Amino acid sequence: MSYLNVKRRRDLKRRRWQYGAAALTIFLGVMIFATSYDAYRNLDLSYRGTYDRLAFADVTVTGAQSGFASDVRAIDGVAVVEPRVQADLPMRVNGDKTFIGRMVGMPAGEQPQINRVDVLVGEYLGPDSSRSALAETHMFDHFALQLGDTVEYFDGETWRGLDISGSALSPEYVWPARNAQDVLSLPGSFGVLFVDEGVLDSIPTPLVEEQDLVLYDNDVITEDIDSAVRRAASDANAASVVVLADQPSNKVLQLDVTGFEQMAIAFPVMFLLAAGMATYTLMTRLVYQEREIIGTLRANGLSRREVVRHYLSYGLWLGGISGVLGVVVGMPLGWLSTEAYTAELGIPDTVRGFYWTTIVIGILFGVATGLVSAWVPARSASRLDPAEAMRGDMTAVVGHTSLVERLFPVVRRIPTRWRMVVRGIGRNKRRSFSTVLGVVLALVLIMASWGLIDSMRYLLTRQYTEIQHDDATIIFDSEVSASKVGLVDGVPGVSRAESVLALGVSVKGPDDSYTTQLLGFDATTEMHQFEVPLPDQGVLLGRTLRDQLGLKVGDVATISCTGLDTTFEVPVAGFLSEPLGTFAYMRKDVLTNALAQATPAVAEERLTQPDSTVVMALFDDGADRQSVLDDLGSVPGVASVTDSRELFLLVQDYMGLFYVFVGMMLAFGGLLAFALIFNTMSVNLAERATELATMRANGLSRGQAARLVVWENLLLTIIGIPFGLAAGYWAASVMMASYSSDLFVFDLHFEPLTYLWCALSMIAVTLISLWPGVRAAQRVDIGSIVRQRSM
Amino acid sequence: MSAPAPTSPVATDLAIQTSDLVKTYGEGHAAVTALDGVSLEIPAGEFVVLLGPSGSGKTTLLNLIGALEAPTSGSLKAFGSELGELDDDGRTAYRLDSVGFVFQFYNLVPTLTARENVALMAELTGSDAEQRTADVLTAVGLGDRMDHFPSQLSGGEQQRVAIARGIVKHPRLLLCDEPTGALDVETGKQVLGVLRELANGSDRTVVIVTHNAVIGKMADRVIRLRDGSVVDVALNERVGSAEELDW
Repeated sequence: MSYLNVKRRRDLKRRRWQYGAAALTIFLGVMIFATSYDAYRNLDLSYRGTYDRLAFADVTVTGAQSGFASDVRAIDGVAVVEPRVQADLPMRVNGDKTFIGRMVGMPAGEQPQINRVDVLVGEYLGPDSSRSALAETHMFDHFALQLGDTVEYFDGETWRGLDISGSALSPEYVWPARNAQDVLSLPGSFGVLFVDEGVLDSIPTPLVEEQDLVLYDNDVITEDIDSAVRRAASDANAASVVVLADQPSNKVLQLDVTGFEQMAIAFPVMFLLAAGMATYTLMTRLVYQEREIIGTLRANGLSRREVVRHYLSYGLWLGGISGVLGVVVGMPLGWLSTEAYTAELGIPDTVRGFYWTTIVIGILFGVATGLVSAWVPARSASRLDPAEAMRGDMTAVVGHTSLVERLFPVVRRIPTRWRMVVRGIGRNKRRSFSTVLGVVLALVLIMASWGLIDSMRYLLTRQYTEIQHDDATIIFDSEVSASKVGLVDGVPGVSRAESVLALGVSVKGPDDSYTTQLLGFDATTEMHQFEVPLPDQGVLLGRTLRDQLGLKVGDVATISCTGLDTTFEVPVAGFLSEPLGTFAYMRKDVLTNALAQATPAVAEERLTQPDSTVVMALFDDGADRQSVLDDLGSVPGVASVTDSRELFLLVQDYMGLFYVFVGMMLAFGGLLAFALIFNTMSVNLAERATELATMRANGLSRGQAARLVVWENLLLTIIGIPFGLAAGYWAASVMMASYSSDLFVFDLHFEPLTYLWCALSMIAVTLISLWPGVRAAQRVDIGSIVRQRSM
Repeated sequence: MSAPAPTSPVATDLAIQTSDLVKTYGEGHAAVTALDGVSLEIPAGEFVVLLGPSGSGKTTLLNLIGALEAPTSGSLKAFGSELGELDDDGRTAYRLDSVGFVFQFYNLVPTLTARENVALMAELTGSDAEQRTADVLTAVGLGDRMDHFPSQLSGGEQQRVAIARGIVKHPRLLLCDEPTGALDVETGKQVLGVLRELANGSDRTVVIVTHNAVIGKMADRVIRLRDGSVVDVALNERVGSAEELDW
């Protein structure tokens, strides 16, 4: 059989560009699999490594009554329960910008048993560290802190200073999220200080959260213990229970892990599907061309099995070599991706595993693609009747009027050459399907990434221009009176100021409870635009709570206010679809009344304290933002000023980078489409070479012949585009849905121009794919081709 | 070595005139001379048969006359114009205006009907394509099969469509390469009859390449080639009809 091997080698060489395109697509599919699958596993292990080493809490319970800790310790699988205190307070660095930071109490002299920290600079808090603090690494880096620098915090009465004794990485803040409502906290707007827990003793009780951290034994089923801990927390009237899966930092990071996992499946599937179709088209053509050879070989004793084996070997070689190369290139890229990612996020434990499963699965992907795509042509080759095949009789293409002409009789009156183009689509349905598939898969790839960016841009624009109108949130250091609101209103550049109730709450429904912020706005507020008017009875909730808490409109939700230590019940008046975070909203007077009737009751005067009331400001159009923010910081009694639109403006600045990402996906999608269109075009031209040459002999010019071929393929691309746009929209919506949670609500949005750009990009890719074929067709030797039989 | 061209009994204007025509393929040791100094004249309006065994150069000569290829050296004039001086666009224009081709394999577009296959060429050469298409299909005896697709036609019918496609532009020169090679005897005779009819009573020159010497009986002129040279040019004193042929 060695000469059949020579034949295969030469066949592959003869059509090296076509097989090369298919091989490149398999290579890319396997490479992306190896890269993303390894990155996914490495990242997962890297996180787990850090979490395990620093004993990241499996559950964080806030506001539980005494006795909770001992109850939880009794639960099977619970290893450690440790109390902790923390407080969110106004802070400022070097007397400059103010923001709301977080102070987390730690035992002095030794690390806690749960939620330990990695001290990256300096030393851990010593036994006498009541005047010093470890800055969480993001804060340390952002403010370029040095050992000995001072960070001030407002303890409810006065500003106090702490000396920075080092920088620390915490598993809780690998992604520095303040909470589930503010996961995109900017480093300049949020920071964490780890301090001697004694420091928090001097802070007024309402500002301090008492927490119980729970750590499980290794190798336990966490869901079972989670449920038991939740029950105990409920019995202990805990304000909130956050399990590891819902911990904001972990949840955001898991989105990336999930992204890599999805990429490890979806991308290779698309590439391998395209490569399989391209190989199938080529192999089918090869077998058709070699009918007489196959017939002769069969007549001379070659068995069916040997014929199958011969043609399968094309797929085996193609898939095998591409698969091996994909793995060889993909795995190191996976390691590099992991390293780049963990370095960017500052994850100390970078795992770079060597996974045999990646090698095996990757190569299997390649081989399977080659074998599956070659199987049908190989089998049909083996089933040829030798006598018939040797005669070289070709199955005639059966002509018929196209569907378009039947539906639109006017098409029958267009010039014959254009009718030929229209009918060419139905001439070889497999080939047409292949081209359409290439367009569809490429558009899925492009639109999934473009949709993410369009949606993010739209949702942020919606959040910050249609929903959230305030430009700044101001926290005072004492009672927020009408005169203080007036002071803010009087700052040049501020067009309006309103006091807003902002309470940390736990909303409880029949199924679960959820920790969030309850905001009380004036009925005529200009700071926030609601989809429905603020109700005169009841509360509006973010829509993710409908399913999570098991609530529907009209149901009664129980709201526990952590800082005010009170609980009240309120009917659910509606659900809101807001992109960022999941909040609860009430009219300020309705909320005040509800609290007055709560158990225990809260007096209206209590609500004017800065832990309950903030001031929101709206700026004049065209105002110098930084100048107004600076002036607000100088208003007497202001503890902190937060720029509400900083994130929005930052994202606007980075949109160019996001489009680089789209560009990369466009390149990948283009390659994928190129492999299919280039191959189908090559086969198309091979099938029609004699027809075209005969027309050329009779006076059709090169340009006219090229236009006929180009238009036929362009028409297929144009047919594929709506399907591709629909499939791309669907794929993007599935991807968005997988990212949607209580942290973000990703409703898919495409800018109208995006569809146009996607369609134009496909037409451009088609023209590029056609170019080599058209060039080759123009160089053909008409004199020799016209003497051949049409195939 | 070429034989002298006898005087035509049909017309005096020359359709084709070659002088020391050479066509070589490849270079160096691999070079193959397909035509080696061919000089001949084909008067306009004649029905000419180029005869010769495989490898004699007859198809090469037909391709040069049809401007599918350019000669290596020598002169090749069609209707007084030197073809060797034409670039690709010029050759295309010459084929469009002056030449119709018919090949052994009909090479029809399978997705177009007989009418559409012919109209495709007719549309390239100006108006009234529809009428001309109908006329030529009727002329080749396919007036009632015009709207059939190639897969619905017999081999002979398909070849007649190919002939109609070749003549719909009203070319002065119809070049046929083994037009009966894929047909049975009876069908072949029908096709030859159609070709002969096309030459009769018109100024159209029909050149048929074949290795079948019998076909020479129905030609005005028979040109024999061997090893790239013209070995004989003969004028038939009596031109036979297609029906009389047998092979």
